This record gives sequence, structure tokens and C-alpha cells, in this order.
Amino acid sequence: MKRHVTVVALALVGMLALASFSAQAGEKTIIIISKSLQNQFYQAAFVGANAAGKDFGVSVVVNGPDAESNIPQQVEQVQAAINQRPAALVLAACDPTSVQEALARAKENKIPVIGFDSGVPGDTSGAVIGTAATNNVNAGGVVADNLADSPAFQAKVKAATAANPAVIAVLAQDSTSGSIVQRTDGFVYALKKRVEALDSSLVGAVSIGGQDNWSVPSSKPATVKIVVTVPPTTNQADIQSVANAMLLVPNTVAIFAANQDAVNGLISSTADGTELNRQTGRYKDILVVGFDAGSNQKDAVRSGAFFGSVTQDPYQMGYASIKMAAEAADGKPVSDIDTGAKWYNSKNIDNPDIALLLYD
Amino acid sequence: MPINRLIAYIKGPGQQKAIALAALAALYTFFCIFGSHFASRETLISIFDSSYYTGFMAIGMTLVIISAGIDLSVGTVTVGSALVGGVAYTVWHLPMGVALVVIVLTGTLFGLINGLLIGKLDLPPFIATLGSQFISMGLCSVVARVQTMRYPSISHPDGWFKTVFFKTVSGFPMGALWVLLFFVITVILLTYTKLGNYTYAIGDNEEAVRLSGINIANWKVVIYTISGFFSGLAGIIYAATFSSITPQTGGGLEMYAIAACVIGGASLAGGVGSLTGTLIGVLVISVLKNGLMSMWLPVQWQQFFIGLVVLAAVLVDVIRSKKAHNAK
Repeated sequence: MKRHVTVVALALVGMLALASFSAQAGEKTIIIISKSLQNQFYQAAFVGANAAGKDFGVSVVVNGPDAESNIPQQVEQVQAAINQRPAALVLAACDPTSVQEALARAKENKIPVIGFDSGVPGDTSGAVIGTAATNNVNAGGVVADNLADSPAFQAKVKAATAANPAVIAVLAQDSTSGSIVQRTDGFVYALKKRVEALDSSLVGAVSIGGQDNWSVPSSKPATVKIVVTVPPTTNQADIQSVANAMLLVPNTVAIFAANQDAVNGLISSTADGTELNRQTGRYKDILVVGFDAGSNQKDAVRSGAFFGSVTQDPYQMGYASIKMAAEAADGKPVSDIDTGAKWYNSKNIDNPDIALLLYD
Repeated sequence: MPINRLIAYIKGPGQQKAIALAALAALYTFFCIFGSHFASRETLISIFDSSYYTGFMAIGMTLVIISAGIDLSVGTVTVGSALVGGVAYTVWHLPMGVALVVIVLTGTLFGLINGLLIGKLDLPPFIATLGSQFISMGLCSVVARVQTMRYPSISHPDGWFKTVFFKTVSGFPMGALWVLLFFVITVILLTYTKLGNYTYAIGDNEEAVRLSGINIANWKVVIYTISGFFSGLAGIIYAATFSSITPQTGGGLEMYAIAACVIGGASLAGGVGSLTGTLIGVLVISVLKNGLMSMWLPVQWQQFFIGLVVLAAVLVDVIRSKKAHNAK
């Protein structure tokens, strides 16, 4: 009995020692801590982070709590990370307030901290010197550009009249969340510009409205109306009823659902997307564009029910943040990086470089 | 000869504690050799930091386990009372001192409810505290309107409670002093008072205690109320450690407290257990947590190894009692 216990104990010690040696190869260590370890979005970020580690000759250690709500676990991980004196720390904070005291210690010990994804908004410790994240204004612009490139869209917009204006509806889940507001901004202003560039008759004929935050009247009778709608609450039922109303507006040419919840609301109100079927669907002429991913949205894009969607680029977030961290560790100055956004549709959704970015 | 007496103690009643202490030393040494930057003052402070709230929960849990009971509600009561204290401070605008009292009272109240359910209504402890685990998680979230409660940072004037109960600005571990203080008080309670005698006796042979005319129900109420009180204290430290308290969390923390008791030699069958052992158990868990993080191993491995240590502790206990039995 005793001998068995000893053997098992020795085996465990060996396992641990092996694990530690294999992880510690490499000169400089950068620790990257996400909001949740298993989440597919962050898994893609870790793939990018490890690639950057190879390219810049640093060893990358990934960590994160078991859920985004497990704030205590992340705080302990950040503290432990700082104890280990890494060359730099890369962080997406679950709760920016609770990591402040740990980050103050990072600052004291001159460990540079780089934010990624949502980063550490409102950081007061001064430890966070840069962030690699999606610029949501640009991302909204990518949606607008791809929509405006569609011949079907161009034809309908050009054919519209003041008596029967073409409507482009935007379903924004709320008007306070920074990322959704910026995305909507990016989309509506870029689309107005692109539509006006299509034909001289359209200059000054595009209006933006529906919400006080987004209100730009046209200088002559509007033939194209961009209408933003925000549901009364962020409940799925409210989102869905707003989506239903949008679908019934006459001459609706396109709908932009600005985040995953909005996308899901729209899919539920079209009989799980079947009413958007390009051949047989009740709304087959409406071009729907989405944002982010999720299994429902992926199905809708793959089947062609959605014209296409834009995803953030977690791979780039991981890659760029490690690049910034490696530079900061060498004492070089760093500045925020826009990690970009990628357009995907039924044609490219299963390409490996896109599939990596799309979580379920 | 005191040394002979010490050896006799280690071979006899103190064996489990001695083994736990040796395991603690071995683990610490192991991580000092193989962990990265583990042998530092900062890591030592982090080890202490992460042991206060588990420590308070485990002190209360030790009493409960010695009485052959279990308290599954301590995790959610700890977080729940910190949540209610956060409401007192940020929503009701009470002074921080009062909010801290609210935290302790909330914990004590849940303990009292557990005690009444178990002592007076004769519910099995497992079921009663399973119920109050859900009730505390739900009710405290309702009080907080399912909002995350934020405590002021250490630089804010109301952040004084962090320097008093958790850590001074220069990094002195104040929490350790508070744990030590309440540890000593509870050791005295358990060793020199009726409460201590009855706690062990109830755990050892409840029927015999009942037959000798002692009001077991009342003592159970006291034991579970004390456990709730310690959950309240844990709530203060939890608030000081993490600043942001998320509703509907805390489930699972009780398992660390139970594990600490078991590593320290407490028997879930009751009648056996010591606070010194529990404290060693708490430190074993903290060293493991921090040590595995210093070896870059993710959370899943912490849980795996804590599980192994718990099993090893029970195994050692089983082997030991078998030997003792054979010797007879």
C-alpha cells in the first residue's frame, strides 16, 4: 500500500515538473488573460497570440477564468501573473474596477499591460499603455461598403422615388452600449456617402432618422431613407417585435442587425430564417446584413438567407496585442491598434481563415 | 522531555495534523523549486490574500463538521452578504462601517435560519443548507436587483475597510491578523467551553448526548449561527479582496472550505476535527492555487490537484484508523 502511494506521488510530481519545464522554454514571457478561457472567440485570440509569440520570439502563456462572470478567479490570476514578473501582461478584464489594485502593482513593478478585445476601460492605474481592439466605427463601415457593392442593392436604390423611397433599416439593440452605437454610426454615415456616390440624382436625397442620436435630414425629398430603430428594452421579445415591424415596412431594401442579439431577433421573426430564403421566402428581396457570429447567424449566412455579416477579428486581437506587448517589453512606445473586421458570406464562410474567427 | 511528548503527539492524536503540515511544507518547497518567482514575498502575500475568506468559512465549517453536520450555504451566504452590504453602501447610502455590520448580520441571519431548520425542525443538514444555498443566492440577488455591487477602491476615503481588514497600502497582510484573532477565539471556545464539549459530543454520539438530557436543538442553532457569522466575516474580506460582487455567484466556494477541513483531519462522520488542522488545510489549498498558477497551469488543473489532495487526506486517515484498529 505504502509503496503504491509513493509511486503515485512520484508520478504526479514528475508530471508537474514536466508541465512546468515545457511551459517555460523561451526567454521572455508574456501572459495573456482573457475574460473566459474556453470561449471560442478567445480561443481564436490565443491562436493569434501564439503565432505572434513565434514571430517575435517571446513565450506566450494563456490563461483566463472559467466564465466571464467569475471575476474573483480572474483577479487572482492577474495577481499571480504579476507575481511572476512577466515581460508584459495582456488583459481583457471581466470587471475593470476589480483589477485596479493588481494593475497598480504592475505599474509599480514596471510591467507593461496591454488591453485586448474590450481591454480595461476606465483604467485609473496607468498600467495599461495600449489596446488592440476592433474599431467599431470602421467595422460598421465595412458592413456598409459590402452592402453598397451589391448590384441588387444599387439597382433598387437607383430605382427608388420620393413617393416610394427605398428604406434601409438598422436594428440597434440599444443606444447606450459604446460598441453598438459606434457600429451604427459607422454604418449609417458610410452608407449615406456610398449611396450618394452611386448616382448624381442621389446626392442630397438620402436621409438618416428614426432616433434622435442618428438624425440627418436630406436636402431634397428623400428617395433613400436610413432608419435606425432601438427596441424599448434589450429583451429578446422586444427585439423580435421591432424586427417584425421592420420587415413589414414597404420597400425595405436592406436590414442591418448590429449585434448578435439583434441578429437572433431577426432570425426568430422570420420563421428561423426560412422567410428570408432567396427563392421561396416571403422576404426574399430584403438584403439582410449582420454582425458577429453565433450558430444561428452562421446557418443564415451559409444558406444565403443573410446577404453576409461582419465579424470582429479575435485572431488579430491576439496577434496584435502580443506584438504590442513584445515591443513594450523592449521599451518601445506603443499605440492602440485597430484589429479590423472581416466580411463573410455564403462563399467564404467555410474558408479556414474565416471559419477560425466565427464562434458558435 | 518535551521532545518525547511532541513525538508521542505526532504519532498519536496529532498525526493527521503533522502529515498535513508536512504536505504543506513539501508543496511550498516544490513550488519554490519548480514555480516561476514563487519564492517571493509577493507570492507569499498572495497566498495569504487568497486564504482569508476561505479561512473564515472553514473555521465556521469546522464546528459544523465536528458536530457531524455540513453547511453547504457558506459560499453563497459569503457572496450574498457582501452583495447586501454593497446595497447598504451604494443604494441605501449608509456609512461603510454600518455596511460592514450589515454584511455580518446578513451572514449571521442565514446561519440562524439554518440552525432553526436543523435544530428545531430536524431537517437533515445537507438538505437544509442546500435549500439555504439557493435561497441566499436568489434572495441576495433580488435585494441587489441583480446588479453588480462595487465597493470603493483603496484610495477612496471609504476604502479604509480594505486597509483595516485586508491589506495595508504597504502590503502588510492585515487579513491574516483577523483570521488569527478569530482562530484563537474559536479555539478557546472549542477547548474550554460547554459549546466545545457539546459540539464534539453531538458529533460523536448524538443519541447519548440527548439521553443525558442536553438540549441538542439549542446547541445546533448556536453552531450553525456561528457558521453564518463566519460567512459574514468572510463576506467582508471577500468584498475587500474583489471590490466587485456579482449576483448569483459564490456557489462552489463552500467546497473549498469543506476540503480545507478534510485536509486538516476533520471527519465528515463527526466528532473529529481541529481548527489548527483546518487552517493548515486552508493554506494547503492556497499554496496549491498560487503554485499551480506560477507553473502556468490553468484553473482546471487547480481543481484536479485540490481533488487529489482531498482524496489523499482521506486515504491517509483511513489507513491510519485501520492501523489503529488493528493495533487494538
